[in-house]
Order: sequence, then C-alpha cells, then structure tokens
Amino acid sequence: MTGQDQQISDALREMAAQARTPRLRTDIAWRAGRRRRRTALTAATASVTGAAVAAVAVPLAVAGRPAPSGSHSVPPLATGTAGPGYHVSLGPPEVAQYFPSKSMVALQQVASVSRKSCPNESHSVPGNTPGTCFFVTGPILTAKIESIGVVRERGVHQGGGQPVYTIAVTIAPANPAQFRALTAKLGRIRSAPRNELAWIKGGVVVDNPSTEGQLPDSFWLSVPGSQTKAHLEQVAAVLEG
Amino acid sequence: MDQQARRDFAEFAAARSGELIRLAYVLTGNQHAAEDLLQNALTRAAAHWERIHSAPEAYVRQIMYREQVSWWRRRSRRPETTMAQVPDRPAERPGTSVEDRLTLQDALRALPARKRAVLVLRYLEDLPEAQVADILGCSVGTVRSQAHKALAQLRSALPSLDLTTTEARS
Repeated sequence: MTGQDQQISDALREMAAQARTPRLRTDIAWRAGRRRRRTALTAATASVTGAAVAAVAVPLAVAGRPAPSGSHSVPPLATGTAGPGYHVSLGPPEVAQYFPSKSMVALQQVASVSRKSCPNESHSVPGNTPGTCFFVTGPILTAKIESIGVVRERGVHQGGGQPVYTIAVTIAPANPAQFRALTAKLGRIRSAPRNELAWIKGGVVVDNPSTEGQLPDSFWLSVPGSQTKAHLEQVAAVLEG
Repeated sequence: MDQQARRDFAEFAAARSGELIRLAYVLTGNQHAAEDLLQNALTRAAAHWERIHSAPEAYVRQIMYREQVSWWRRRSRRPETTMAQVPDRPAERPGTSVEDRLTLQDALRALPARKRAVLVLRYLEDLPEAQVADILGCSVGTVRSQAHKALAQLRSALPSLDLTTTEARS
C-alpha cells in the first residue's frame, strides 16, 4: 500500500469513527420487513391472477364516501402502505400526457400510525391494510390526479441488467401554494411518519409516501428497492383509483 | 419458528450495528442518513431472513452499498449546487496534519455516492475490483472508471496529493 493509499484509507477510517452508535429500532425493522415479505408474496400471487389490480382499485374508486371508522371492506393492498415509506422525488412533467387520469385525492400530513382499528374521532383514517389506523394532522388538501403511470428510467439498470421503473405522478392541487408549503414542511422533517403525506381516497389511506422536499405539481414516486414493473403498476392503479 | 428468527435477527442487529453504522456513515457522510440507510437495510434483511440468516452481514452490507448508490441516483436529478466563488484549496502537500486530514475527509464527503462507495470498498474494505463490481452490481470497467474519476476529483481538491500509483490497484 502506498502512502497515498494509506492516507485515503486513514481518512475513511477517521470518518467511520465519527459515527455514533444508533438506537436501532430492530422491532420496527423486523415488523416492516415481514410485512414487506407478505406484501411481496401477495403481489406475486396477484400478478398471476391478472385481475387483482382491478379487484383492488375498484372498491377504492367507487367507495366515494368515508368508510366507517374502525372497519372497511377494502381488501389488503397488494403493494404497499405497510412497507417502508415511499420516497417522493422530483420528476418530469412531460410524462403526464401518457397517463391520463382525473380522479381526486385528499392529502394530509401523517401524525402517527397505529396497528389498531381507528377510534371514533375525526382525526383518524383507516389504512387499506385491515387493523391499521392513520392519525392525520394539519390542513386537508385536495388535488386532482392529472396522470399517473409507471415509466422506465432511461439509462438506469439494476445489478442484473434489468430495467429500473418508477411511478410518474402529475396532480392539480386545489391550492398549489398550500401544497408546496406542506411538502416543503414535510421535507424538513427527518422522522417518520410525520414526514409522510397520507393519500386519502374513499375515506381510506391508500398510500403514505415520505417526502424529501418541496414538490411541484409533477413528481416521481420512487419505491425503494428492486420493484418489478407489475408491482409498481399495482401501486399506480391503487393511487389512481 | 418466527419468534426464534426474530430473536436471531435482534441479536445480529445488536451485535453488528456498531460496525455497520460506521460503514453507513462513511457512505452517507452524516449520522441521520447513516441511520436511515442501516434501518432500511435491516428491514430488507428481515424480509429475507430465512434465506440469509446464516450470513446476514454480507447481505446487509451489499444492500447498504446498492441502496446508497441508488438513493444518490434519485437525488442527483436535482440541480447542482452553484457557488459564487471557487472554494480555497490548500497549497501545501497534504501530510499528516489535522488540517490536511480534514481536507481529505471533506473531499471524500464531496464525492458522489457511487464514487465514494468504490473508494470505500477498495481502500477501507481492501477488496479487489472484481469483488467491488460484484457488490455494486456493475462491471469491472465501471469500477475502474469510477475509481479513476474519484481519484481525479480528490486530486482536484488536493492538487498536491499524488494518487497516480493508487490507480494501478486491482
């Protein structure tokens, strides 16, 4: 090893030594991991049936009014609020034209998530996984989903050379300034779930992506990890309603 | 069975978190991001525990490397930072002074995630290029080019640092 090699190696070691031992939430990691496994298995089964996307999307689309607190008939989402929060990042508005949609969604900051049925109070909304309840806070924003769809990231590949997909979303918030202010606020919060934005359709939280910063009206919804196109299409279908 | 697996997982996390957070810190450059990276890697490890429980650390490390590179790729769509003036650079040859070491650390932190990951694997973990490529899921050629560019960037930040010999490592 040369002197320069040693310098770089020493500098990296010194950087590593600056890390503080974390207070790891192994229980949360374990539960989230197991849910991720279950949802992945469900998604794999659903992709075989072919009709699963419609089966998930239709009840959400036709619900139209808030589900009764504490119970709802929406089947478990085959993709995902149960896993780690999705990361929202900026994306190109030009993809909007390919995925027309006009459904409405309500957006509100998540305050906490409970693994129990929702109590009878106005600040809680059931999740689409039975027995999950979201407590929401702050103003309720409404937005029209102008378009949503799965797009392939050009020039980006996973380890095995497989393509990488992401979800492109364009919305029309009823109050764009308020939407930008809320996403900017969430982007400054480091801890989940308070940095998450609940997507509420038909009285159910269909997704709760975390937000990395202020969003314009068009953005990408990136799902961490190696997700298949079919998996992402299911997520998009549920969001679209 | 699930309870036993859960205990094994908790034991693994408790025993290895110190070492893993240091790796995460070097890859991300800050404590919060390092904790997020490690937590996410452990979540994915839990999802595949039956398959990886005999050697979980290699899996978690690989996840951390790949997640960090992929996170940077998503973030890198944002515009680059602009500065009114070029920052001052040291004129002296870097030695072992605190200032020199800090300058080198700053330069390492400023590297994009993929380049930093390549240097971490080569210089901290002391792995050959083929293994670095395997962990990052890219070709050996990509590893070489990323290392070359990373060293060039370090050289740009530290003009007096002679890194020519290090590029011959394989």
